[in-house]
Amino acid sequence: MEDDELTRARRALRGVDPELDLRQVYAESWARAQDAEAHDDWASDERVEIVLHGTGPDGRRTRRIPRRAPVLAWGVAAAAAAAVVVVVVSVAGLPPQGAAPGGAPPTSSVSAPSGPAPSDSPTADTGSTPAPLPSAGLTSAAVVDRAAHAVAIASCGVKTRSSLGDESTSRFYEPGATDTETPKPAPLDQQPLQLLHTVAAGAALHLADLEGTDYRLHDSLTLEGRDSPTPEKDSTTLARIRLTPPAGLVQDGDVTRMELLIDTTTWLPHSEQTWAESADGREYLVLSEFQWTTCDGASPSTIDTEP
Amino acid sequence: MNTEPDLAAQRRDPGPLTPADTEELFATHARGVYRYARSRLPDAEAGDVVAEVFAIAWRKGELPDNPRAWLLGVARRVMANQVRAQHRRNALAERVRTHPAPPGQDDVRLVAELDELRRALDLLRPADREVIELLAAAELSTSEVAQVLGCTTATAATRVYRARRRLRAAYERLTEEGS
Repeated sequence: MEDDELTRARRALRGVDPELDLRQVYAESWARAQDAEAHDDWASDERVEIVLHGTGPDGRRTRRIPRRAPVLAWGVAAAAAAAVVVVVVSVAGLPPQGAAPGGAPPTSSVSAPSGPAPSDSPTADTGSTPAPLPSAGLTSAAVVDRAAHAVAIASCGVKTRSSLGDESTSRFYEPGATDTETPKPAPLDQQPLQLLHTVAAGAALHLADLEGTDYRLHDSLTLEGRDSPTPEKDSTTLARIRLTPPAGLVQDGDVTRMELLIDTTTWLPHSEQTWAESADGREYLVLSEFQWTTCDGASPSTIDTEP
Repeated sequence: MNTEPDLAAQRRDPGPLTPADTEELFATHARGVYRYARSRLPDAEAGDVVAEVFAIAWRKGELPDNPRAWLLGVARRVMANQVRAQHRRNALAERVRTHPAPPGQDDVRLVAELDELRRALDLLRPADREVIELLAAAELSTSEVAQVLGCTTATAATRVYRARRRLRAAYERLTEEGS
């Protein structure tokens, strides 16, 4: 009889058993536990150990690399970032590092090739024409780092607007907003727009905190040229990064995928696409856009839902 | 297919972890954690995940209620952390690439089956992929899948059903493409 799909998958994974040197891994695990400083709770561990398997006569080598403690709130991040000089990006093929939010506009840009907009692009209906550009050696992790830094110094808030079909909702988040950090789990089918709007904003506004969560950052990175809606402004280049959110963000369903577009001029999140699927198999795609506010007057935090 | 394996064999009374417990816990669950990690990672990194997961268990010092589900939940988190060390992994992969071990007969078969599974997993959505990885690595029950993923058992059952159906379709697609 032919194997079923799970038997086949299990057989493939059982085949890897001989690879595991139980004695060695046990010894290493025990040594790590003994070596750990007073860590009572694994969730609060601020360091990560990277084991490198040497190929020389030494055999196995272990190197401990301190992990940057996650930034807990915008306020803290903004204060810390105030003393940090903005690093100029020198990736070939990319525009130079632009001004911080609220500052002077960049003086140069990439001339983006035009092409058809993807049907699910959040700005596909605005006449923008994203097209892939060479990634020029930029990685997803590097984009996240730069975006987290840019968000940290954009201390005057952001207006987010999300849409799902004909419905849309918008909200202004002030610096240090904490209600996006852990969206309250709720049934997906009841309020999909509000729920996914919060999830989308949470990921974009707390990029610095992703390091301590179950969000999975994918390696794939694409750069897209985006024409400016007005001739006075330069076109922009957007870096598209992909995230797999952890399970449990919503009840009775899953947020299955997120794609975040980062403006490589300011390194601020530009827009986001959030996919979700309910337990019944109903699928949702929420498109979110971000308007970063300069420090010459911020609006109060409000919610207004439009039919 | 039995998706409700012997729960009695997996569950232990929660309490302080004794030296005997640590060995038993490792002997019972290390391979399952390794398979789970190996479904996504190269062998060296998967071994590292196992070491880290059990180091965390030793540090915790308590026997969890359902060790298998708890350990896989920790492994899931450890693997998510490792994604952030991507550039270091790339360097490691490059070293492995430039110093490859000579493959043997078993390696060839192993690589082929694992490669086929990974190609099938690549055809799935991330949510389905995660369910299959758990089911394939450690033969988790539906309630254990729910525990690891942080959802209700009913939701987990739906996800298991759906993920299996899609994995079956993925394998069929690979077979058609190969023939």
